[in-house]
Amino acid sequence: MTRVVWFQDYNPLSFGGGAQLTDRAYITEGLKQAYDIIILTPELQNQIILTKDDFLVYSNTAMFDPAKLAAAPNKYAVFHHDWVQSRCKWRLYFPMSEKCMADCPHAPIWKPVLEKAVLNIFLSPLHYRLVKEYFGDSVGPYVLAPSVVNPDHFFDHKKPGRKGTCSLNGLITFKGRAQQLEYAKQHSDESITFGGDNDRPQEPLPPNCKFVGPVAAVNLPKFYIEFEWFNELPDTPQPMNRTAIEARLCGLKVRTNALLGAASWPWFTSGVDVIAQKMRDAPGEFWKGVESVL
Amino acid sequence: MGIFSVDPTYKLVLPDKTEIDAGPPVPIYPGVSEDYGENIVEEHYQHFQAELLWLIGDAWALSRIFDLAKQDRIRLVLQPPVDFMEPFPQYLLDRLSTAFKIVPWVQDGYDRLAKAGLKNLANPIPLGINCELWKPRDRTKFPDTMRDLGFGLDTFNIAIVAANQMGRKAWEQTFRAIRIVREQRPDIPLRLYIHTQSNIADGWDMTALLNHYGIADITNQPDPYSIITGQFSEYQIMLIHALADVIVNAGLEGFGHSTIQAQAVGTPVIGLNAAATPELVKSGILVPVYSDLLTPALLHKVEPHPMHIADALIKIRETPRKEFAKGVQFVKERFDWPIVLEKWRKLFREVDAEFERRCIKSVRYPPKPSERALELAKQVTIVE
Repeated sequence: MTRVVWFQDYNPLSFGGGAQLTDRAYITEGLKQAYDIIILTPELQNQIILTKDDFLVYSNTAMFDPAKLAAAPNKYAVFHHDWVQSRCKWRLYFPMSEKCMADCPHAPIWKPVLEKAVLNIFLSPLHYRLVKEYFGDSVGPYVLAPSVVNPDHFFDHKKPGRKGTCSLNGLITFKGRAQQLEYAKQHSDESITFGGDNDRPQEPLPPNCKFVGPVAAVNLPKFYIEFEWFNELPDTPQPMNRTAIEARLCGLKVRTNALLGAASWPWFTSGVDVIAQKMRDAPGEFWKGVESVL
Repeated sequence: MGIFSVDPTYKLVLPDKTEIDAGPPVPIYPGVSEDYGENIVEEHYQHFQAELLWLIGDAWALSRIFDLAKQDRIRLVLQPPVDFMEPFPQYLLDRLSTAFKIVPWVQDGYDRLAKAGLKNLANPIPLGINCELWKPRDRTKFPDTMRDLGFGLDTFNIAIVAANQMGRKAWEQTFRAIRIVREQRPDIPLRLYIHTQSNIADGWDMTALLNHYGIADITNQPDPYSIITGQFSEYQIMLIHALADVIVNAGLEGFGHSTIQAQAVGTPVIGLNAAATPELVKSGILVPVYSDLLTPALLHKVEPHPMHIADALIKIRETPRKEFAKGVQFVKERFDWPIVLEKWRKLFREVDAEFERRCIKSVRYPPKPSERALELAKQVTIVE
């Protein structure tokens, strides 16, 4: 069986960022299917010898040299977690400005990598649509693979007495802080609890808002099930945002907008059981996509 | 160890009661266990949310900083001394090429690095000097300092203010030159003050070297503990230059601060006619290159001959000091801090604009969402 070499800035098996959690789910499924998978982080570049038969997955590779990635003689797939996986500081924050779309100084660095990819992997239909708009014909064959959330961990406890609204990381600027606070001001009778990060903690919040700080991953279900509503109100497009899926799986109603990648999946508005099944199926679908180009 | 700040109300009071504003507070980050702090520089960079690392340093002595710059984990504006001759070793050019900008100190450095193929060069910016402090002084008003330096009003007072390094600063050649003058011109009452660490790893044992050339009896050195703990103020360093009849700085220099310091206070300087020094000497004598050597870092160094330094010393002894007065204005017009700082401001404004154009400023400067994005944000979806 073809060996799969998974390029990642950080080891998905030991690092808990969103991209790494998603990769962990897909790598785990690959191992179950008996794929021979090697994780290659930047510090291992000179220690792992690639062969021409290896299939490469470039996933979250901002710390790798794009020119070297493009020059690899191997077949490879690009797993898009962000908008531009090059040196742009705004990999996660795509303002869709005129400059971004027409004159991005980073796009030419990454374009050659995309042009040679035999497969592109996107987190959502919205993600694909905007990257396609951004890079045009450089984006070839693709599959969609959502951030995977474990439905055995996140499920509807049907806890009675839920009330109020919550948000996770909603006070981060690039996750839509301005929209969240605007909503809070316009709904001053609604109690809103913010968990996660807050990149301007010194700024006072509206009186109906409360910030409770980071919530450990293991405690997230307990956090969600106290609330009736989940707000995800970005003002720049989000490739996916797993938190909206987590909240849905925990039975919360979700208030969001057209910039949320997760909400661009047709099944996002389905019942919890459908979403849970999509989560269970996603890793298998991912490897079917890979298999088709091996 | 914590991070220290300079007290914002701190004033530097000079012995003549002049106050110098120490400027706004600046966080001072500690080094750890390694000379150049390379082992912690990235962490400091992130903690400070730096946009760039501005470094004066020897490229041959650093390594990790260039690795970080190559990986774009730091952006480097480097001012390296070009105190070596061609051919430049390839490893050095590779390191320098990782910097966002290389800022030579003088035109010589610019020209030679450009010739070697570097494309990331900025216009040269020299070291600066505070010309309010560094100005000619009347030696008769400083009898105590004259005595401490071993200088007399009628003696020929030579000073060297330089690092104690073998293969640099021409210590050995200068001491031999002084011995030659002493032998050939016993009528010249020589005095020497050397401001350096007298005994340091990889350097000379200065006392042994002075004794070797038979000039220890006319030489004064500072207290080693005082110098190693940095107890000499800039004012005192200025006086050393101002009260001497000549400053010898005859090694191969990428800049050579002492060269402009001497001229700022009206003291002639003896320098080497190579690298940066010819651009910096208006009042003094340039001695020719005589020999060369290759260091273990593959750097070509050149050195003067003691005889040439001896000739220069005698010539300066026989020339009235007022004939070397042009150096004061020369330094003031080129190296006074306001002039130098404006050059840095201009460079950093250009660098900032380049960061902006290339969208590589840090997350402290998030762009605003476009109108199109804000329109999409208004399309609210409710999922129940």
